[in-house]
Amino acid sequence: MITISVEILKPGIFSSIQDQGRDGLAFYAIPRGGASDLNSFHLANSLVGNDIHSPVIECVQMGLSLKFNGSCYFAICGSDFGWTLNSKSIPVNQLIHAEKHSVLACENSASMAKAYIAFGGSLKSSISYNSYATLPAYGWGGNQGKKLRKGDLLEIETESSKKLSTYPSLQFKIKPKSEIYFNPGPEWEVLDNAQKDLLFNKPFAITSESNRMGARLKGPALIHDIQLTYSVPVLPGFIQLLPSGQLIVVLEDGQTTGGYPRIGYLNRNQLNAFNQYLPNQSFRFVNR
Amino acid sequence: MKLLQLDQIKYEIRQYGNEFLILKNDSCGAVCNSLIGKSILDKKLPFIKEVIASEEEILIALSETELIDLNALTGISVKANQESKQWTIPLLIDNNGDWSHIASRTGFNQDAYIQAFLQSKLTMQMAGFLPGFPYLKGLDKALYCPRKETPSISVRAGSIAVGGPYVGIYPVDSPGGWNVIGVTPLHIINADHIPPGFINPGDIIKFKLIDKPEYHVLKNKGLSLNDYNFS
Repeated sequence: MITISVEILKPGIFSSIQDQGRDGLAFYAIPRGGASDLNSFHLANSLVGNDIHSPVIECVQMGLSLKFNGSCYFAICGSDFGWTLNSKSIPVNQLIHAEKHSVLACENSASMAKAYIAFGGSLKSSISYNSYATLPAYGWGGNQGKKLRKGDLLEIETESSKKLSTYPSLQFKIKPKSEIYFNPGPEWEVLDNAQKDLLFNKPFAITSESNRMGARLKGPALIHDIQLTYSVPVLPGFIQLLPSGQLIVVLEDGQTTGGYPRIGYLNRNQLNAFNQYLPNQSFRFVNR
Repeated sequence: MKLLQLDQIKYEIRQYGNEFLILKNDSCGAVCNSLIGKSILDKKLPFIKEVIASEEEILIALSETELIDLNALTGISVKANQESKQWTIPLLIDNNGDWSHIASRTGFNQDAYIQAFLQSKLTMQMAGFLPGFPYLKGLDKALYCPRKETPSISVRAGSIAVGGPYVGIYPVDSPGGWNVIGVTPLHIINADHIPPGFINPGDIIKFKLIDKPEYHVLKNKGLSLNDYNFS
């Protein structure tokens, strides 16, 4: 085992260390956290031969650039931000070997919203509540609870790696979906039939006023005058109806209770797909 | 509709796909649901991923791989709560708070609202929303103010806000839909601990008015809620 480091040259918009998130702590209002697209996260870890729950770098809406101060394997899954290694284009969904001094960068075109960079070996970083999932508002999780910044060094314990002649890769492209399956939630019946029609017949998009706590949508206004008396439990994937008639999808770092009607929810797979939408990218809800 | 009886409390069970269950009881209250929720959580059953308790519901998030086994819940008995603590929380009125919304929905101006608010005897109901955020209840009904039409993008740490029947304290800067009335200089998070806050369901809370100089003195000391009350 040897320890190498990677140095963040440009951090992108919001790059952070994430893992599977925290189980069993929602009772204490501690958000689950963790990778927004668990499928891409698991694939990236699988390609480098790690346990699929190992910590990775998650990039949101924009890639990052970093320098390898030692050789190691890595793989990128999720969004193709126009990734390059030493200025040469590299594919997503493939195991790649980086020599010492290599520079990973990107042109910042974006096919999807989230990319996951897994390094072969163990990424060493800080943990809170038994998870690397970074929660910057609290300073919890990886990288001392902060999003990645220029100059940050990440340590990776890896086996000394030799370049292989062929590389395992996934022979498919993950295509963004234009439809998301909607499941009726506990307060589904606050909508009348006309509003239910609008929900399934008009396009929606995530607005730029969104973050890892929640995605604010713009779409048809589902005007209503329902007020819940009490705050009720919510999970990542729950869809809340605001008094303004707009919707919020609760995400990984989101609250555990809220006072808005829960008209629907997305199951985990649908949430993975939803989390790959870029702001303003149009999609539809379909009734399952 | 399935029914389940847990420590003499009857719950209606609703199942939502393979994702979650909602156990509904609209009479026992948030403190009672929190105690039962905690007993469910402590059983560490493989089919249960998360438990969230609230006023009328206990939500159980389901594991993707394990079968639901409600019989495993039937033996649950609630441990009596530990002795409830009394907390005093210093409050500086925020003149830039959501007073116009509060006035339009309750009819109280800022001074009248604060006067009435300080008479309230509040009880911690449940954890929720954010780590360390306490849901407090006990406001006079005339002081209930609905949540905002559109939540604010950022409410600063320490803000004390009202939403419906509740009073809450924001532990960190966060988006929020409640009406801000003031701010406390104390840290209300107990980081790296479970639970991550100091106040527990059943605890009694009183707010105490402070002025700007007092606020800054306390803020500079960097005190936690626990330091201020018990040391």
